[in-house]
Amino acid sequence: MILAKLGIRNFWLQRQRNLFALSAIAIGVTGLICIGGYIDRWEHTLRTDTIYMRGQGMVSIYRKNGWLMSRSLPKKFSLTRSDQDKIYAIIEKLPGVERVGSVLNGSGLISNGCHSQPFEIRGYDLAVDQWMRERPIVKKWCANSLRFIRGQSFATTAPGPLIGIATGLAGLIGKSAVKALTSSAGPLTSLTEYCSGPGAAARIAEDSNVQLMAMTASGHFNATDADIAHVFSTGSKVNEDTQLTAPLSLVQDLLQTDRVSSVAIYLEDFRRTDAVARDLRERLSQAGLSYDVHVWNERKLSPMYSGLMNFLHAMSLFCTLLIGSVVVLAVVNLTTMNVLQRSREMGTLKAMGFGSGALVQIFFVEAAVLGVLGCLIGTGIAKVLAIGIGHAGIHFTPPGSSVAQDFLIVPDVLTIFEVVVFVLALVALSAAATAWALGRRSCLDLLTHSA
Amino acid sequence: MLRVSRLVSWTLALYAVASPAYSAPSGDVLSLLRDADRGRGGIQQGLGWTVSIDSQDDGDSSSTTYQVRTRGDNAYVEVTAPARSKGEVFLFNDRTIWFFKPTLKKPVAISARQKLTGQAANGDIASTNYARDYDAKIMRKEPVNGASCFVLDLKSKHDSTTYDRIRYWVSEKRRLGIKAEFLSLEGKILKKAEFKYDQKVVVDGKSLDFVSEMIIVDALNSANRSVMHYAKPAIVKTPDSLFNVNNLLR
Repeated sequence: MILAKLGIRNFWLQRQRNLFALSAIAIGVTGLICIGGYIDRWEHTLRTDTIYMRGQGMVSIYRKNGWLMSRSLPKKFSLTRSDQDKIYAIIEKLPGVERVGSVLNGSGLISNGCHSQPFEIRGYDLAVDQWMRERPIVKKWCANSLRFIRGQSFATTAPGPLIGIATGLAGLIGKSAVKALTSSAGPLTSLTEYCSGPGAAARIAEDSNVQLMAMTASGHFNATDADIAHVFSTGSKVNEDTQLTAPLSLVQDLLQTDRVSSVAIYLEDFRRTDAVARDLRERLSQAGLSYDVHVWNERKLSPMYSGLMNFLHAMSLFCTLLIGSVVVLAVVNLTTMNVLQRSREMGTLKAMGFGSGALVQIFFVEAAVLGVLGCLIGTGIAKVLAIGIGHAGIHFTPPGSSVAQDFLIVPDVLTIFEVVVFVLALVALSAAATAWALGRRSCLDLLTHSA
Repeated sequence: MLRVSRLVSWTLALYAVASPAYSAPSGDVLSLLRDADRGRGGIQQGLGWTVSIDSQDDGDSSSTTYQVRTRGDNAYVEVTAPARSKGEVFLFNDRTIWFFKPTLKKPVAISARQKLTGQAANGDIASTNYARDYDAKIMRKEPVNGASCFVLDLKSKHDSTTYDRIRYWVSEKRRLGIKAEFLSLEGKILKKAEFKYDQKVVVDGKSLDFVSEMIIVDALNSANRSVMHYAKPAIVKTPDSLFNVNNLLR
């Protein structure tokens, strides 16, 4: 107790010198929490986007090698009606499942009547889409992706065969109108006039009607009319020129099949993903069924999530090393100065019978007070900064992104805790090690040393 | 010194003889290619035939029948079987190909390179006009099934052709394409084809050999193949309106 009192008293006596080290620690904590908060923001957004907006769910089930091959060879690598029934029967018994949906991927050509562009289409359950859009987590983390650039959801658009089209692809086929906003045009009499007559570009842009053409599962041509219900952004420049979405039924009609590419499982808690996937594999194996079970964060399923998170983690490691070094140098410098200046005091204490360990304890307490204060101030500044940045409404376009994103810093409690523990440990260890190295001198040596 | 120059001369002479490029006047090559095209429907008069394509693709088999009517650079190809595809139309307007079915509001522009069924591409179904679409060079002469053939190297003149490069064996005597290898730009063989001419069509009073069968085989997996059976070739009168894309909408 006496050592703690000495430590706290010394901290107060050396307050001017301590202020420099305190500033270094507080700024370091602020920096680390801000970096952590930035990573947390992208972790939440990309995870929610991968699981919900891309319709993958936390766990997805494919035929063997179906993830790779179902788009090119749907007849061999997609799930038949019978496969789907067996899978749904097993999922029913799985604990922690909140929702199940089916996805059918395909590819083909989209035409405005004048020229065509290749597309990749994802067909999904409308009920699952509606449920997903109402989820608070999706509204919170994927507000930008959730908003349509133009138009409305399939459920709120006039009935008929409907598609959603990515902005890039809409631009490539010269479309800007969506069905809900246009009146139905009369029958076309001359394609030549429609495509190359006066005002052709405006006429094509105002017409929400498109044709989709694809190879059916049995290898024949098929084509269907559809109207654009909404224009959306995929969030990624790579996919912007090719992506379409549609109700599952439209894609099944186009491909003339009742098959699906995968069954997606949405869990109540994403942290149970691996456990549920293990459980599911076991149940499928017990039932003698051989399907591929994938989890949402597999690199091949979510390259954007994996790539960006790896980059952010590498960047944060570099920054942590840099900030950690500054904090260590500040504390070592401060403790060295204190030890050298207080050599006589240490000598006297040693002469009174205090051991080296006790002297280290005094400096440890001083450093601990410094660390706790620095962490408190740093956390406070970081929180104020996070709130301020959130309210400032700063937008930026990250590399590879097709839309501007909100600049947000949203540190989790766990992130703050990790930063505080890391900095406290760093401060205490640096102080204790410095005091130990300098305090081992003899009593006489300490008493005769002049600062 | 004299010996060395003689050796060099002989080496150059031997190289010239063994050189793969077979020199022939370019007009001859074009005329050869036009004759070969004629045997595969490439004539200016209106011509009609039916073609059924039986395909084996990764263990699945399918069969589709088309009614083809061509004139010059245009073709109107209608699916007659299977029943669910009946009424679908492929309209070849020079180098543009349109796909249409009665339930569509507008036709869809498609590519000649796109897979039609099995190993056959859209561009394989109508008449052939290699003389117009490819730069040709005779590489060498080579016997195929005992018949002497010119081996032609065809390079695409534009990107709306069905294939980038074709190695084409044309019979010296019959002036008809006997076999072909369809290659990528890098020279990799994608598909192989063989042709038979067991029927005739009378054009301007002259009886011409006409293709009766074309077998297209995947170069990587010979089990994947399409056999195109051509039947009932005849000169038919086809109005211009048949090839007008606007008329598909009516």
